[in-house]
Amino acid sequence: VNELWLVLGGALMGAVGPGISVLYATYGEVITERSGRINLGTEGCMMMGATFGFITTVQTGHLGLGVLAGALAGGLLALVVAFLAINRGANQLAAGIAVTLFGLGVTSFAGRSYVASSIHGLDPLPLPVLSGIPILGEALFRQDLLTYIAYALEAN
Amino acid sequence: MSTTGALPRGVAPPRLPTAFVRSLAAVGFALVAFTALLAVTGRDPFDAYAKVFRGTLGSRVGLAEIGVRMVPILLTALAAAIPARLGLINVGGEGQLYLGAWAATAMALFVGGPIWSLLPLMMAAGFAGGAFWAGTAMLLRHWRGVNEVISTLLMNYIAVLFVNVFVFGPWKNPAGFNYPYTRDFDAGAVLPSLFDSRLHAGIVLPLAAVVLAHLVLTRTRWGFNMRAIGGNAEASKRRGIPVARYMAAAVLVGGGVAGVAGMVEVSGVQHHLRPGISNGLGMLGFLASWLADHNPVTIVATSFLLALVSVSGDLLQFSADLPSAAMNVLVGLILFFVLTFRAPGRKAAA
Repeated sequence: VNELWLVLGGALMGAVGPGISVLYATYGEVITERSGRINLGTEGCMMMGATFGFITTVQTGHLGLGVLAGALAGGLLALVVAFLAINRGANQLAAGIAVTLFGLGVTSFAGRSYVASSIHGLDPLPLPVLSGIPILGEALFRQDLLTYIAYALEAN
Repeated sequence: MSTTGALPRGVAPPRLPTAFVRSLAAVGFALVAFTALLAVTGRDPFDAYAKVFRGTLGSRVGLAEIGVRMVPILLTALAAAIPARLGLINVGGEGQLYLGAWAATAMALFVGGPIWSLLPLMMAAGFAGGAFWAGTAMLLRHWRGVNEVISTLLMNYIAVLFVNVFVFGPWKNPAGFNYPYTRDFDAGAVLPSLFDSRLHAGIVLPLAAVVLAHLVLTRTRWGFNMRAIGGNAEASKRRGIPVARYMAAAVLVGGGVAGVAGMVEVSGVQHHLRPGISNGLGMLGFLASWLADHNPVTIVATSFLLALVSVSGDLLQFSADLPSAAMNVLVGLILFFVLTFRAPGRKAAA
């Protein structure tokens, strides 16, 4: 029984990190679809954010700037989808796929010389009390700031 | 061949030349932008282009490679174009290709036989595999109202993993040093090669399919009804056209054609099943169909273009020290300019 808890707890801890990245992408897509549009370029936007956020952090040594640069890069790419689909009346599925391919290519170009670099990511901020809950606290409340912001957005 | 001047007043000039000129201009702009990108990142673009030319259009080996690459792109393009006639969007060519490859491999490994019976059997199995995958998406639409764009797109990922289950598991070649490949096919399951090159007999399949699709769509009652449904499904239904049956048939045929692409990949190119047999060729097919406005004849040209770009990407990886994915920038740019140049308000090619 104890081992089962360990496995479950481990799975939960492993799932929260990657899940939060997808959750942010989902928020983005939800906002898009509220406007009656669909953005198939989300994958490309995520890659732009990852690559340019990382590069900015390596260059400036400042994580906050990296987060901003990542958001900006993703937003700029999504702007291309918006231009094609709204201003030019293009098929939004094709526009999204075009942008995903473009993002895939640009990031493989730009990120190439940074493959061996490393950054010190956001530090976990254990919440008082809550992080003391066995298993759940460990998995959910010993996370970084962006994770808590995602929780807050979810509660909204 | 412009006949605009000879046309009587009030008759619109033919659209094709303008569309063609626009597409050429789009490719031109994309090339200029890509050249600038190469130059800015410190590479010699013209050296790179010279190498690409020698490795593609400028040599027998290169031409054969384009042909090999073109087969799955053209077939998956048809898989998108046929349902598109009815206003259905099939983004699942990639997954249908994988299922077709899986089903054809099952025939090659477990049924076998002489080449004259085994190849048609594999083709039928590939068709059935792709049709099954596309049909599942249609059933979801029919029963639960699931949007086929989402279901076909997401089923791509399932198909890739489905194939992985077999090549990493029960079908793995016991003598294959633990690589996730099935054993190599017997001679009876391999499409014969042509001209002593990597080109194989499978190249006739997409060409035959294009001719057939063109004839059915333009010369038969079926094709007429399909266009009617694409124009207005509700009106067609009230006129007594069995719309649901047409939709099911178009999607099954489309998926089947993509499945044949998978059969051709394992039988003509790989000679075994392994993970990543397609790596996005089905997506290029969707784009080829879209760029051609789902016209089965124009698709040949757009598939050729995308096959050329795809082969060039692999070449640049070796010769110009570029990541292979860099060619995606060029594909993205081409699409960007094509989408930009198409007149606004034009009916979205759905």
